[in-house]
Amino acid sequence: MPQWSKEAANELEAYLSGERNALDKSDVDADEVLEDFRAHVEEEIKSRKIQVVTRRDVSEILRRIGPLASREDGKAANVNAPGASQTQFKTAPGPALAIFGVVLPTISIVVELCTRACARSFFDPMPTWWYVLLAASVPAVNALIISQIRRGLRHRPQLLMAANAVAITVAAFYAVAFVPLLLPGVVAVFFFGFGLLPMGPLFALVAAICCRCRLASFFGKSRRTAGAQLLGFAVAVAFLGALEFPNIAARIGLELADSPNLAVQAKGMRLLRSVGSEATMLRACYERPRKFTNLAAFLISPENPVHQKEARTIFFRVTGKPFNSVPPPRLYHSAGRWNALDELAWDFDEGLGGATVAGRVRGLDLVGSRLDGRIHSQAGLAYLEWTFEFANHSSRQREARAQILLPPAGVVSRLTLWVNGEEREAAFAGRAQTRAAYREVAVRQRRDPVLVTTSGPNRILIQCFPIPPNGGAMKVRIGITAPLTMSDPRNGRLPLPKIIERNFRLPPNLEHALWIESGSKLSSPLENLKPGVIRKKSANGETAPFNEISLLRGQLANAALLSNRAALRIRLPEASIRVRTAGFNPNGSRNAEKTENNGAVILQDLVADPPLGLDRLAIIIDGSIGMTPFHQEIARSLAQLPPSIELFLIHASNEQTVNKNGRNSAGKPISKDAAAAKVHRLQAVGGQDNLDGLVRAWDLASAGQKGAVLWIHGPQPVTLSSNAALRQRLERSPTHPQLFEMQTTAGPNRLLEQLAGVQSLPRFDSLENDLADWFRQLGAETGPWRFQRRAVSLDAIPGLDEVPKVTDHVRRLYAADQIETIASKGDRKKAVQMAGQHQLVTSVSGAVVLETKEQFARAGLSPVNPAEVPVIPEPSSWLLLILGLCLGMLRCFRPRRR
Amino acid sequence: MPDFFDNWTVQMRKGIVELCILRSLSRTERYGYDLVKSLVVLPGLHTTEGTVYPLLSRLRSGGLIQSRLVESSEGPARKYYSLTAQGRRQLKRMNTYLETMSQTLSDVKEKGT
Repeated sequence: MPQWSKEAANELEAYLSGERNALDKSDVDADEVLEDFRAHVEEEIKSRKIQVVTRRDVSEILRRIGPLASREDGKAANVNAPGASQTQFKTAPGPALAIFGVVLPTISIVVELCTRACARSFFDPMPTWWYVLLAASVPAVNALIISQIRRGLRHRPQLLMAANAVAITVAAFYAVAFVPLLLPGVVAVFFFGFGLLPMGPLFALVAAICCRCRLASFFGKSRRTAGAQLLGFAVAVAFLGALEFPNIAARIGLELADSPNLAVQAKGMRLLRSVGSEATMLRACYERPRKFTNLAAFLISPENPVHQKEARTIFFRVTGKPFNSVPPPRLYHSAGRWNALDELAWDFDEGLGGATVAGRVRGLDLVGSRLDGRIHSQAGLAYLEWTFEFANHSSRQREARAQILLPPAGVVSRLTLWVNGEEREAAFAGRAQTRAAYREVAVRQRRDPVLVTTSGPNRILIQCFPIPPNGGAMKVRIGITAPLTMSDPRNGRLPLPKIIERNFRLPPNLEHALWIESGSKLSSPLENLKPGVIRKKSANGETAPFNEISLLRGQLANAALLSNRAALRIRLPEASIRVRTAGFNPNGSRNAEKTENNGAVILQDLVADPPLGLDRLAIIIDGSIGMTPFHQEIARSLAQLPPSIELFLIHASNEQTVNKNGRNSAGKPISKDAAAAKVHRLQAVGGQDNLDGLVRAWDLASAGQKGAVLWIHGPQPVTLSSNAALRQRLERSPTHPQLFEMQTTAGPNRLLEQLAGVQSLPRFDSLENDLADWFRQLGAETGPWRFQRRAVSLDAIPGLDEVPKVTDHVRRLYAADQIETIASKGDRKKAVQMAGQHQLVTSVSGAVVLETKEQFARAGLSPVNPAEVPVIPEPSSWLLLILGLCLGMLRCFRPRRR
Repeated sequence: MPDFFDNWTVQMRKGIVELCILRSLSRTERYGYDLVKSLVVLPGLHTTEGTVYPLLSRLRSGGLIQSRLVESSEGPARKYYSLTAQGRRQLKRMNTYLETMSQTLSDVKEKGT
């Protein structure tokens, strides 16, 4: 390649520039002629084999060539040239093409990215960075082509044609999308002088087409350029299709799945499961009515769009996952300012002050979690305190809501809120009263309350509001009293509480700090929990100055806490078969010692229940996709079933294909081996409605003399159909057949929340082992061990004085049982009164912490006396500890006096 | 009268260059540089590169010829010209007309009428 000196290049450019003026006045395409001419000069130099091109060389060549635009050329060629005036472009790309093809579209993109105006008001034209890239390609390609033509460069014509085809396709796509906004844009421009932005795509499309015409004129027609254009169109269409097809399919699928027609519903489900975008379905779970968050939703906007609630149901039915078990949809995966914009699009918390956890809210994190506990091994129970610290990084006040799974038969006995660094204790009263107080103070007055209510058996809902914006924090604590689950008289287990549903984020580095103490040996299958021993000052300092206390401590990731192995194992002392409290006052804990003087205590016995003696067992297996990994375990565990039990197997599924198999054989007993083989072959899909299967299982089990239903299932985050039929059966015949349930993985269960009388089987290990344990127990001579509590007079049983006195938590557990019994008999008022007196959160009562005494008084509530709340250790122990210390000090002081 | 002769030759050349271009392309497509080079050396035509390129541009925009770019390993893409169908029709008419004109000139020269 010859090297051009700067002077030579300048000489040529000056010549061409001069000639351009003359050509512009003629009817020829100046750009084309000049470019041809430039190419000619280069060829000339090459043919002369000039290595270094000097100004002299160029001057000599130009002199020989003579002036362009010679007067000689005249207009001869235009004679008899039909259509010439229509096809040729007489001027180079002007500023209008650059303004409408490059500047305006670029401004449109930048403004939309900065303000999200369209995303918030109509639809999100650029929901991901791929769309941003696609949209930005239009002005970029237009700019490249305009620049190329202006500079007269003829490099890579096929590439330019292909790029232009991409730009035309993308611009056409957005122009069509923005058609509904064109008229408002024109009106806005006419009346207010602004509103050009919605027209950006249309202008960009016209400009891209103009660029195409110029390119065709510039390069001429050839098969290769035509092929390049086709390729460009194909690539753009394929790219757009790849981006939009899953979204469009998901939107159409949602519409179909929301249809009242079952056949149409099934079509929608199939479409969603096969090609529907999960992200689009998730967006529908958060979208407000007619507030679309992507293009597909906007374009396919029916008269009655799918509502959030239905979308959440469909999401579960398609994916088998609760919609709020995955992070909420995002507009952008970036930080800083974008998060604030992102937040604006999803800021509506429809669950505020409600009784459900609802969707995740942005900017709310659980930043601290500690679980302190004391195992009262002799009393066979545990008292745990779980402290949560929330931080709100959004610009709005937030409510934190979580559903917590308690240990079996656990009860919330304390609730504390930190207000200005001081601990405030809760008032315990009826559910409605506490919720009304919470709503009044939190939602209306926007002050600091926290509320805990039950949310079905063994589940509580905790909610606190408002957590201040911009980094504001809130700290709450719940105290849980729970009995140990005894596998035999000496060995107890305690599943740790878990957050099974939440509306806040758990930062990736968050770990729950655990510190559990016990007078007996403690262990856990979790590797992160390290055993240890600590020495604490004894209450009786003279004989035993220190007590050795067994300890388990460590940091647990949330996944570990959610696992079924998150449990403690406790070796109990022999003396725990029969224990009693110091005293019992049916009206509450006050004056307990006085009550004992009057002779009333709570006596707790560890007894073995009689065997269930089942003759018939209907096992119903959830047909949701999340159950697939457990089919093998279920099948293996069936071998442990006693042969005397008549077995029925039902696969709970509302899918016709699967349901058919279940229905055909569900009415007939099945052998263990056949059942195992059938479970092996089960095919799960999406999220399934278990209610119909449960009713059928109940009916099958009720036909036996001693029948039971075992429901093995995953989370059930939505209610798919009415539970009236099942509730009727459970209410009318609460004892027969018995209904047991075992959940495979931690998660919300809307069905269980509404069903009383379902016995939850605790989880300690793999599903196979837990099921096998239970099946073995069905054939054992005795039933499971459990604590039996009763209020007795000290005089009623001889030798009761000698029975070891244990913690007052036994009284709370006794009261909790009594409250549920009284409530089930219909005396709700008495149950509420008792719950308030014993400071317990039960199915009829809640706990609420308000900020001021006035708020408590206005709500007709009175907070508990801080001196009477349970702590670790108990107040009486503290008292003894202080007494012991005083005695020790006195002993040290006396010799000095001497 | 030299001015008269110059003017007359200019008038004569008008149209002839276009015809030469079309005839040069009648058999095969030609690379632009070669085409121009071959035209400027034709005796009597007295044309230059600066004249031919604007003519090529006009003929192309008039639809009589077409061009295509062919990638070259030695430098920028090369532009090849060829006749369009319309160009072939026009060339045929121009040739017929020129033959008629030539015959007329011969007749006038021989017979004086």
